[in-house]
Amino acid sequence: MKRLHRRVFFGGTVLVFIVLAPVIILRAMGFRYDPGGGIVQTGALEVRSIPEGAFLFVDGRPVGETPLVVKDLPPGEYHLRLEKEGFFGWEEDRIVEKSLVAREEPAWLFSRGGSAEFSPGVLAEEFSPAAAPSDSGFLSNREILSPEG
Amino acid sequence: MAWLPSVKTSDRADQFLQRCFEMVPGLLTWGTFLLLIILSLVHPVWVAIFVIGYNVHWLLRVIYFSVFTLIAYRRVRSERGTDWIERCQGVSGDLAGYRKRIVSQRGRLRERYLKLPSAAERLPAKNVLRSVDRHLQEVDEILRSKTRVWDWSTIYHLVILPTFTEDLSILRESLQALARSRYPKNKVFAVIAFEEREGSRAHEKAAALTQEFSDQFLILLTTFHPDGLTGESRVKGANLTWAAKEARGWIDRLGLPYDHVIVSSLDADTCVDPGYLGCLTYNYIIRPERVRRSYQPIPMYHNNIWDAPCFARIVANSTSFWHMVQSVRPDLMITFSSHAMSFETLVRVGYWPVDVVSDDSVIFFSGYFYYEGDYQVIPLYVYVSMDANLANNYVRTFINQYKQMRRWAWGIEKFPLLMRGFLRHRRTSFRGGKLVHLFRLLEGNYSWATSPFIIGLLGWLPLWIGGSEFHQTVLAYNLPVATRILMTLALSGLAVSAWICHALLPPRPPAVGQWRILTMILQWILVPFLYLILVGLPALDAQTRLMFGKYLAFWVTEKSRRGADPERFPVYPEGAAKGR
Repeated sequence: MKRLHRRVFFGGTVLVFIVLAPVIILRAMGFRYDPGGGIVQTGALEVRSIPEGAFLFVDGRPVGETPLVVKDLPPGEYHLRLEKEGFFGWEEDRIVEKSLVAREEPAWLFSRGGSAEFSPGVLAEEFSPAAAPSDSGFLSNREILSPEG
Repeated sequence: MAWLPSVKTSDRADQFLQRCFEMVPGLLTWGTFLLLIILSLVHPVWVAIFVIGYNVHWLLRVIYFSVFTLIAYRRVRSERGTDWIERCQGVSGDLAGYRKRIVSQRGRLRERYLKLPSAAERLPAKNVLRSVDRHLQEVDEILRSKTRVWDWSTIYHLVILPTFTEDLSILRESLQALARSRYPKNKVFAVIAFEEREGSRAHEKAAALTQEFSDQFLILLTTFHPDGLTGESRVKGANLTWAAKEARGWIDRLGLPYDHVIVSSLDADTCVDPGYLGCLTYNYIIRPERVRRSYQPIPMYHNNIWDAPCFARIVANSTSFWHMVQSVRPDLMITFSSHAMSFETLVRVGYWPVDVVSDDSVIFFSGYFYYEGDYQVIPLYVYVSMDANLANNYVRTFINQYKQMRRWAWGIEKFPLLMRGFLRHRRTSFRGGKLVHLFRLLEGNYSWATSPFIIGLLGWLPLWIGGSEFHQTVLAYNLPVATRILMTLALSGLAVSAWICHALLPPRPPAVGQWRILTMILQWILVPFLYLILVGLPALDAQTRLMFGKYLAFWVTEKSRRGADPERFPVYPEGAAKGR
């Protein structure tokens, strides 16, 4: 390999680093290119549920099964909905801040089949569907867990 | 004329400088670790950003290295079947006539090559063509620069094999390999350099080897280096120097001019390729600056590769790769392990250093200082095969491997010497190579000690000690994801290495089962773990010792091969070699 070729190769590698490293770092920090508004720093949402395997919709858009982290969300309020066969649905609004992962307690999903199928079982008595407002058909975490709920 | 300073100095100011420079590498490494730990506590975001950037740099480095490995491999492969004696004879005679012969030979080869039906059959022919093309370029260069090529028959070889406690069978195999050289043996002056402190066993081995081999070489000399000469440490260089001085008496008696004697320093377990002496001679006679060059064959660790445990194989193969890669960028190369140079330069620079462990590379810098920077290494595309680490059991082998790695990492002992040398000869320009050599030495050893730790351990620190605030960031979530992706990609570079390794292996001896090939491929999975324990740790150990002034003594690697069956010895059949 000739000296010139080597230099070019070395220079090229350095150049790739100069371009690639900031791009990867900025992406890891949550910066994304938004076709509308240039570059925005996004945040993320971590959604867990008990039991796992519920399908998540963010603002009505299907995303995936829990547990999961929804990335690349521009800061703002998002409406979450969880659906799982045989369980009541679950809905909640969450705020996403830039550069942060919004983490909340897992969402409890209640079985439509009665308390025997509650999961995990220990919590069955504490939050039985009978105690919940029966007209709504679904429950929010906040309604159960937060004091003002 | 400049000299490389010695570790031992009576001058107070010099001693102070030596101590200061000894601390630099260790301080850099430990400083990096400390800084990363403190910053992980205070500014975990900064560390996370640094770590991702570092991993990107690492990935690119692996790719860069892999490309060079491929180029080196291609070169090595193309020179496998070269008849160096034929080339020596060719360039020693009528050059213009010889050039015509090469051109017509090249034409015939090309014609035959084009007629070959499949790519698989074309490959070996293409390798031969590449080799001939390069040879033609060299001949053209000789004609253009009007270099006076020396007659190859006037060249003599002094081959020194320094030994301490190695078994008779190992020395015998090394000498057998030398005797198998395709080179007139009446030009070969072999010296087996024993240590007097080994006692009567050394003399017994000497007697046995003399009886067996004395008629196979011009001279077979056995020397016994006395223990504890003033100014010496118990290092290989001291033994080598003693042997070279003894040999000098014989060279004088034979009336050989020093610049017509090429001296090879081979470790005791080194088995040279049959083409080694021819290749060395060829490269020596065609260069006008021949005495201002060292000559470096490619070190392979194939003697017992089929017996050695996987981690020893990985280290051995990685070492070979590193030196193959070096051979593609010779202007940055320094000598390692077995190497050769003109006897004239050896005498002029005062032989090998007698008080440092890394005699193999310090001798290069002796020449570099003596010729004020006009000193380089010429890569020889022939193998010399050594032993991979192998002791009686795994634990022992593992410890030995660690010690060997630490000895290599101890090469950083050159840093204070170079710094003092360059300071002392401030006015000498060294052809602008000062910074390059210093940087490569320091950066190489720094990366060697730090990168395994940064990638394997410290990179996770922000997550462990960065605190809950950092934990909530997208960056904290992405850090392990990015690291995993980047390192998985870097492992693909290993795939290239594994493939080349396999292609370079000597033929599988019949005694070794087929399944061994499978384990040899699987060994590459171990690399990340070994990287930390057998690469990073020994280097950190060496630098820390140097920082505290606790000098490392030369530790002779234990050598063993299972069964001294000459059939198991890696002789590359020419046909098979060309077929690769």
